Amino acid sequence: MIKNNKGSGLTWAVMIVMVLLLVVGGSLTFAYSNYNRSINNRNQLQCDLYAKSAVDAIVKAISENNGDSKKLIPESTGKENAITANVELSNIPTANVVIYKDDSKSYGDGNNAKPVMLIYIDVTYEYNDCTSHVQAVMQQVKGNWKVINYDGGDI
Amino acid sequence: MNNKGMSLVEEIVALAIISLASLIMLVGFSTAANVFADSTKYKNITNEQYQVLLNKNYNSENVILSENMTNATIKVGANTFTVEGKQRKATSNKEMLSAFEFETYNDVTENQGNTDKTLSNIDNYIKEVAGLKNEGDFLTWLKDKKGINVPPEEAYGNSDTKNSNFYQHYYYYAQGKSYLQLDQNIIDECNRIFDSVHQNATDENEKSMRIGDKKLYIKPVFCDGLWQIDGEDKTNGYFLIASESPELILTDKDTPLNTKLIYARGKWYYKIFGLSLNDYQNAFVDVSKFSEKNSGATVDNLYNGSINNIYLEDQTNWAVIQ
Repeated sequence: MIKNNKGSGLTWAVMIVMVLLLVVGGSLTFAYSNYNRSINNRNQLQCDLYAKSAVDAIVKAISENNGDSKKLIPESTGKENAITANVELSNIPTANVVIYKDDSKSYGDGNNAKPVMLIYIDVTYEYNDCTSHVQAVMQQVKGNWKVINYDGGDI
Repeated sequence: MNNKGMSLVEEIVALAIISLASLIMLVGFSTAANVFADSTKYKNITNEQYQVLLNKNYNSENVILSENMTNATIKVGANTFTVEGKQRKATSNKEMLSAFEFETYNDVTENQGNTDKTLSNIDNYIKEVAGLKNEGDFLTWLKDKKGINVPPEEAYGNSDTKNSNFYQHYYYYAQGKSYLQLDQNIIDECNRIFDSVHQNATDENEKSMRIGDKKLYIKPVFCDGLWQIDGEDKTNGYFLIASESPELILTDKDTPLNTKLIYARGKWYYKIFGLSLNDYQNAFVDVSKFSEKNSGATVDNLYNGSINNIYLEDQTNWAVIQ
């Protein structure tokens, strides 16, 4: 039996066009998702920068070691005694800050172990649908508070 | 054999379909390419802006850096207070990336010319406080002229070392920055001298005495109290040291203030020590007693060996850097 291929040209053409359109659609989807990711990354970076800025403002206020600093340092240790604060930077949304003291860590061995007093500054910041959490840890050295570590964010 | 071709209408319909499909694909591919290009450009410009924000000296043709003074307002319950800072903006054609900078004493400034800058800072400090008669006057002056209210219990610290405390209040609170790193060329020269003396060092303690890439901070030691040098030869009233701790304040008068470097009369002196194990204690000197009130210490003492066994003119123990 001889196969009759007459009239299949249009079917082939439609199939090829469909495949090409799928390729175009796929490329567009990929390109737009790439573009959106770039925008999201940028927004996240800006969010992290603002969160870090809010942490730095608190760090500076505490390390100035004056009357205002004392209002930012909790009297007792533990998260249940945390101080909550807001940081307003010019023309951007307010940052929420939680500050708590911790003495659970120590240095030295055995009976010589001495507790290390630390302050944790947690900032949660929301900007353009992005959220950033940045933490700074400060340690008291000879009566002055110093930053010993930053954590969180991508910066 | 059927030699009939397509009719004209079929040709036109086929061409129309092909044209439409081609058009759609052309537009689709070109849009995708443009979006890809925009995405890459966006990503690159963000990276560039971030680099500019991080590093003032980063050269970029596409991004402009601007700075303006600003305040952060902190609210804790009913209390509101502000801290001074800077807003840094990295702006390109379309977009702006911004960060705020709040400098603390941990911040480091340029690494050249800081010796001269420290000397200039101290001169300004002495000029400004020279007319003040006592500590109370200093605090009143700081509050009235600079708007800085330092509670008395924080102002004095150890009374014997109050000059350092006052200098710290003056520069840290008034000007936001008091700690400057030792110039890199001095450190390089110290490393060169150390390497020439201790080139065969195998002992870890001995090797650890090398400054290497450690940061050292310049700070003044006021001899015998600032108020005592008022009206006298001020160059004989203080000298500089450089040590790893940026702090000026000594909370305990018995705390050693060890240094390997002393700057007096226009030169840095670097402490050289021998090769035996017992010589490690000679790798530095303690200058903490110089600041004690009525200690009788002066810069002259650094050159005549009459106090703390420091004798800068002894070139076997002290190498002149500049």
